[in-house]
Amino acid sequence: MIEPSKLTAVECTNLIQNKEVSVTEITKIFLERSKEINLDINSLITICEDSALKQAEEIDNNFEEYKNKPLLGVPISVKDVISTKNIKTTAGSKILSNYIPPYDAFVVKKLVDAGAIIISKSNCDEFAMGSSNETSFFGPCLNPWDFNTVPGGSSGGSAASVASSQNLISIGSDTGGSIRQPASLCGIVGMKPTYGSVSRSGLIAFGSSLDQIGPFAKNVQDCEKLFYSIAGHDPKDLTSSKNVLESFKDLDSLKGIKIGICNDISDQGISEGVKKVFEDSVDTMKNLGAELDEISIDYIKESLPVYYLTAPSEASSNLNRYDGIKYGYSDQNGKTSWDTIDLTRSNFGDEVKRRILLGTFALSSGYYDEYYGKAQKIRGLIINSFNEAFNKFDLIISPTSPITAFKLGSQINDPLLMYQNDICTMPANIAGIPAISIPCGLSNKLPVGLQIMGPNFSEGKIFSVAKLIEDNMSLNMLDGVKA
Amino acid sequence: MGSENKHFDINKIAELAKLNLDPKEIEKFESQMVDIISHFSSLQKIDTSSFNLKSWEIDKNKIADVSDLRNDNKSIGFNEEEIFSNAPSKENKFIKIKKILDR
Repeated sequence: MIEPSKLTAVECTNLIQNKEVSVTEITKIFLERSKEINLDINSLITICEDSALKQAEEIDNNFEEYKNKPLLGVPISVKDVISTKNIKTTAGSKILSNYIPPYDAFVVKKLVDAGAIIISKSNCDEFAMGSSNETSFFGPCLNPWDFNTVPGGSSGGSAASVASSQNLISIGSDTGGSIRQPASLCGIVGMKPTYGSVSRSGLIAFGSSLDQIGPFAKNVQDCEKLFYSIAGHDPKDLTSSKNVLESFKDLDSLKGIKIGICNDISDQGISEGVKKVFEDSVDTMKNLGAELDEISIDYIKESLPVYYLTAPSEASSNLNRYDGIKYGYSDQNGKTSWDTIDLTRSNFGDEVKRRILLGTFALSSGYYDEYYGKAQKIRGLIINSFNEAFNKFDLIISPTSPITAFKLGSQINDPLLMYQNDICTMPANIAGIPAISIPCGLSNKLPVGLQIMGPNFSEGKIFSVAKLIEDNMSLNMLDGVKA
Repeated sequence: MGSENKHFDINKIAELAKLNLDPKEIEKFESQMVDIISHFSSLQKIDTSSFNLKSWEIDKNKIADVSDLRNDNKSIGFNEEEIFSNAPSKENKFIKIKKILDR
């Protein structure tokens, strides 16, 4: 008897390899569960029953060919900003509510090659703009820990679907924290890889110099496995790295590992409950033999303005393509093509309009140097500060989110308050470095995340350290999930 | 706050952004934008004279260079059906649009 809530991706693959269950059986179990739980939490925009069963049958019928694939038969949800051939890909927006991509994103091809079964497309904030999944045209996704709270965002549906075992793993995108913050609020593991280590080809663009696709899982081992399955060079993405990524050795202590506690973000509006749990995780690292010290990163406190000038500027350019002419939703009620463009674009949601306006302003003649240009210079200074910090420390830690899951509707009308949710996660996007969020305890019965950042391409080391911390905290995290 | 925000002309920016806002939206977004931009004025005080382009010199392994551009050879792309499959309005092998003159 398979109990989805107790199963991990590695265990799932083992069961299938040992022929204890077929891929089709597993796929059916998770499709049913997805349909049922989706009614409660609205985590999925599309459930891909037909294509998933077809994919499962293909593997079952050619088992010998597939049996050693790293994600053999593992059910996965894919954030709806990542293109899936012949499967609707909406970006959580009315503008793309009817869009069916004619091609797969690079990572989707990699997932299929690795034997994973794409069973659903997950809910997200519109064009990945938001920290609560409330800006989605398809309605908010709810947190499976407490249906009155948000799952975080923008990849809220991905995080919520893994936490509630609708699927065992997921992929999302992270521009300022959109993987790590929802992972933290839903009590699971999520990673933003190094910029360039996972191809962005087929990702619906938001802020192209910050966007990164990355993995979600219930534990670090599954997350690591998923990461290595999607990473790798892609000639279709000119920012895609040719570095060969290698996993790091398993650790039995943190002796010799220097960890910096990033005070600049660890004291910015962090709630008492989160602070307490974070400090407990610091003790765990100490007990494991790590050398811990406080570190200050120059200019990191400017991350919020730097981010909210850079990302909207790039977004205003990237979203200029949605005009109702070539694809997507189109309002053809006007007389001219100009009317089509005007009428179509008025269907963007408020948060998207806000960011397009902000970006257009920051790039406009007379203000470019003062806003976008200045932000890029400070971004350069932040990158330098991180480089200097990593001369002294192997890794840098902070809480992932300043607060635990917040009440639905409590922040959506106050953009500046909402923007504070990413205060701890934005620096990694600005610097391009990898960062993981792992659960480190509960505050008021809701999960708290620990963020571990490392230098470029240090994913291997981050995973090894995170695994050891996870083992030593033995939290049985997802026992608290209601869905 | 900063005098620069007086220059935030919502109508001009909305036109540049190809967003046709209604009067309620103009009122709401204008006040939110002024708030947000004031909040960001702290950046202007930061001395960036030590900034040079070197800090933007990204790890050479991280990005492609000209040699990575593919050769200018014919390759198989999308077929017609795929290209047009999402077009809101089409006729034969063309995307059909409304007139563009007489704005």
